[in-house]
Amino acid sequence: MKDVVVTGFAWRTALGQAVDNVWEQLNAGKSGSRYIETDLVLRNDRAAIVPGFGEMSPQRRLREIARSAIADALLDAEIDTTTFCEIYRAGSVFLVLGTSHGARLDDEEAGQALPDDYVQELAEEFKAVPIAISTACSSGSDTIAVGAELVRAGIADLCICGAVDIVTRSKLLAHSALGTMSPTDLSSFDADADGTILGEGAGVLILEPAHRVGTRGHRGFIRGCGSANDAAGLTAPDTSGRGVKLAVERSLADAGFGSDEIGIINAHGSGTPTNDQMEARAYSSIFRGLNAPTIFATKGAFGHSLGATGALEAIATLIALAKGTVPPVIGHRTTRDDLTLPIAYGNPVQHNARIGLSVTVGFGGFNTALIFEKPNAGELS
Amino acid sequence: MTIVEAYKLDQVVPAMRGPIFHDPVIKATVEVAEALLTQTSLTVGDRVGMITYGRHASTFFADKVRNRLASTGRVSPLDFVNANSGAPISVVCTQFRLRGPTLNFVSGGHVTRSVVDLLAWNWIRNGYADAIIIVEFDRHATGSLVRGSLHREDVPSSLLEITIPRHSPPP
Repeated sequence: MKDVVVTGFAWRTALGQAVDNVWEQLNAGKSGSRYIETDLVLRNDRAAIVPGFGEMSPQRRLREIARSAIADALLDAEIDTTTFCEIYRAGSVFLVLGTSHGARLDDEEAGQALPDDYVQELAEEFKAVPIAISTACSSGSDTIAVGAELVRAGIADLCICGAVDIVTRSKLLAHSALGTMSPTDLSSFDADADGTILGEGAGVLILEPAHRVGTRGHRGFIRGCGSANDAAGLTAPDTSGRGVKLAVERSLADAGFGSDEIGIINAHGSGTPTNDQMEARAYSSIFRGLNAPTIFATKGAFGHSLGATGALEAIATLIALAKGTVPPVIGHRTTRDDLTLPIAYGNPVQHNARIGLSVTVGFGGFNTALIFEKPNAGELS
Repeated sequence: MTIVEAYKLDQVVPAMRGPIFHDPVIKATVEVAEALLTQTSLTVGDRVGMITYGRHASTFFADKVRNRLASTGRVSPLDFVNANSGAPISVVCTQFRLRGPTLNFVSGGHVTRSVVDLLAWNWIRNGYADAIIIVEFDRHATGSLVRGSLHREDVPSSLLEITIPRHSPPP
């Protein structure tokens, strides 16, 4: 997948939206998780809420967070939407957007709407062909995988990919009742990890074929995508890690890389003991030896942003590759026994990786792996 | 592509038990998948994947969660889990132990269908799957339509359809 270039990206996170500022906070070990005002009885009254969107209905909030991230990602890619029609072939600009439950379990407007109405509306505004995806917490990664295939096949000249999700009452109540919500704090891959903290956000990446990038800068490349189902049920993952392993192996085959070429892994790292176990077993069986990649995870800072998490993690992987550092995993003190790979905690970790892997795991057994390569202006010429 | 068989909703797959099958669309999806897998004598496992698409996927459990939340302020965690719009894929993959690539599109029409076909053929051509089950959720004059086909490199696709009568809103 040499031709798929990420020419821009933007995110909306609980730590803010300015790329460099959020990255500095991640490296400083800061978390966007805060106590929220709620009348609900929950295992934990904290969540990572995106600031700056005020009081509005859940469905409108979902749309507005997505809209602002899309607009910023296009700016980052130096793309002027007013000139779309002159620059791109008709029907070659796509908006591939995803969410998990989004607002549909809480908002009558969203419940009555068709599941892709919010994507259709945004696509009309950004003059793009709409495609909507929902694969639970792998939605964000899957939009990027689909966008990359559209670019690679020569169907899309420009693909706006990403995902958005919001914290709602139904999600807080359900994750509290399911026991997936931590009563303490999210500490991915820690021996004492006891659950996740919900978050919200949006991540949007702009994908283009290399020949269209010209003199513009870029953020990196997508080299491979892979997915696999756990076949284990709607909530419980396959704790053997077989599904994650298959997804990673398919992404490596798609990229034409060996496992020894992966330098960093942005893991799903939800902090639930079963998910952490599944990922630990998968990575420990694929990546061995002295050059095993360094693992990091951002959910301790962003919360578990559900449908959006794959897009946020893709962006974090690209920044980590470009900057040569990975941020520390917040709350991590003692690594669980079954994880044999090095993990970044305490302080940011320097690296010289050229290739990074981002993995997401969703309810329903949706495992997705994406492989990114750091930006290199020489390769575009 | 030819319609090889029409299934009736009352043909119950014996293993289909549990609240998830109260959703007739999920039940029909499993029936379609089983019929496709049976008639093609595929060896199921790591190399069979599945894609679902359509704007008219079931809202059975989502409506249930929203209605209960509005009336009692509570959420059943089981209904919440079952409301996942990727649930039909999850149930089929769990039932038949399919670990191939999977995707759920909640958009429809010819553009989404061509993207679905592109992905299915890429997965097969690149060797990540031997076969992909594709299921479309659509509206029908009398209710919902679940339309499935199975794609393999060496065999023409077959198509199965199940029509589901409009059901009452969930309690």
